[in-house]
Amino acid sequence: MLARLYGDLLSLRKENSPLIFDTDLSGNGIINYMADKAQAIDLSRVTDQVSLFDTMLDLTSNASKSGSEGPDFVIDVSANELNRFFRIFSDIGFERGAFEVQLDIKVCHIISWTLKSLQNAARVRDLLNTSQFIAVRNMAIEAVAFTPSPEEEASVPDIEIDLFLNALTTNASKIVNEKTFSFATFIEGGYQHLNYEMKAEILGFLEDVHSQLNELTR
Amino acid sequence: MKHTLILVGADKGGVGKTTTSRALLDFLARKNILARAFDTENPRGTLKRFYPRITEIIDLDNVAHQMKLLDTIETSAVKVTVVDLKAGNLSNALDIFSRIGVLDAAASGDFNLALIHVVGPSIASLDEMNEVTSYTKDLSYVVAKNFINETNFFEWDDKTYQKYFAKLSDAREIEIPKLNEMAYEQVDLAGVTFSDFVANQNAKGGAGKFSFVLRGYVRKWMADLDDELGRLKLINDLIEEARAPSEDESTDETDKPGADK
Repeated sequence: MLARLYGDLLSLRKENSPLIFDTDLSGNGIINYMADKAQAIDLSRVTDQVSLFDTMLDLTSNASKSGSEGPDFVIDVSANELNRFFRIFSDIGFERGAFEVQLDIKVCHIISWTLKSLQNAARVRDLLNTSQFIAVRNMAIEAVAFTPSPEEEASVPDIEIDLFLNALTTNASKIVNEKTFSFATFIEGGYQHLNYEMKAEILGFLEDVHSQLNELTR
Repeated sequence: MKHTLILVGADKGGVGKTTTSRALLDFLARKNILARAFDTENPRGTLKRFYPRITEIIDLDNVAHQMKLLDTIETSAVKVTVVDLKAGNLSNALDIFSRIGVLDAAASGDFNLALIHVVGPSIASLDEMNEVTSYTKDLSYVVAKNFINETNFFEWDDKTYQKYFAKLSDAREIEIPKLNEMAYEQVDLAGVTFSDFVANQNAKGGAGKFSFVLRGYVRKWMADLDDELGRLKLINDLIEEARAPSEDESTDETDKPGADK
């Protein structure tokens, strides 16, 4: 959901659509919603790693040399590829390369209220040097706050949530999760057939996300 | 600074001997330690392709070539010599060095002598270690388990290996870490040193067009290799001496037998 939001919001911001990569080979990731824009990346293949990381650096570097603004990139990293992605990210020194070509990196890590999820997030956060780490809570999933047991307390990392994705009603959630639904089209005035309440709910959700993202970039 | 002669050998081809020599030369260069190299893979040495300016191809059975290598040890301004021994020629080379007194000279302290024995995953490698035992008492003996191209495990179990290893007095062990195959292949194709590849520099010294991902893998591999080589006293001594060259050099000159005669 968040990758889709980013993909759509970024496509409205610039003339060129962002380049979108999906590491989920099951087809259930962002490619399911943006089949025409997203490229599948098999992180176990070095050729795909090159397609992903080198492409981002090369396009940014080329744009910078020609004095133009480089494209944006969105990578949907599936949960089962998280460790591999950040191992490669760290091994190849991607932050260093990104820093050299002035490519800003934001790592949005979706956290569920479990100790393991918090520890995974802390591990990713601690790995980053120049990137911005954004801890995200999707309130539609496991909304009950995590309470550690006394034995767990010492091992709970200190993570502050930066971005909340509010829970949508079941009906609104069903609509935005349809394969053909695009937040960009919605913002541009599409989906006129939706009733007022539904449109207001989705718009409110988007406005909330947008203002939080703006707050984070300040 | 006393000269250091490092032999890199294996009794079997294809275990990564030349790669180990390349890795070592690369490491020395990164530590600002000047080195020269001899490739005994006569007449066509692979090492020379990567280090054309510092490598000479020699035939170790040729006396004139032996002189080129050994008689220059005392006079050479470069204080580290790396010899990439021809594949399958380790025992023979050690025999030659023994016969012409190289091992004795090293034992009496004329120069430092080390052997990096690159072993592959086969059980035959353990027998190779047995074969060279008689030559290793007067030199620094390092067993290098080469994982650079290997995705498989070593055929022998650790217990068996330790049994063989224990017979080698003062032997040290290092592991040449695995390098991503595609990255390794690209460095090979480019015909550049590992460091130049990371610096995105082609064989002509110009800007290369090497993949950032592959360069990253090589950079990581070099860091892992540095850790391995850094565990060797021989290497640490070289680094220390390179840090304080003037003081050591003056000591070396006065200590040299017959220096004032």
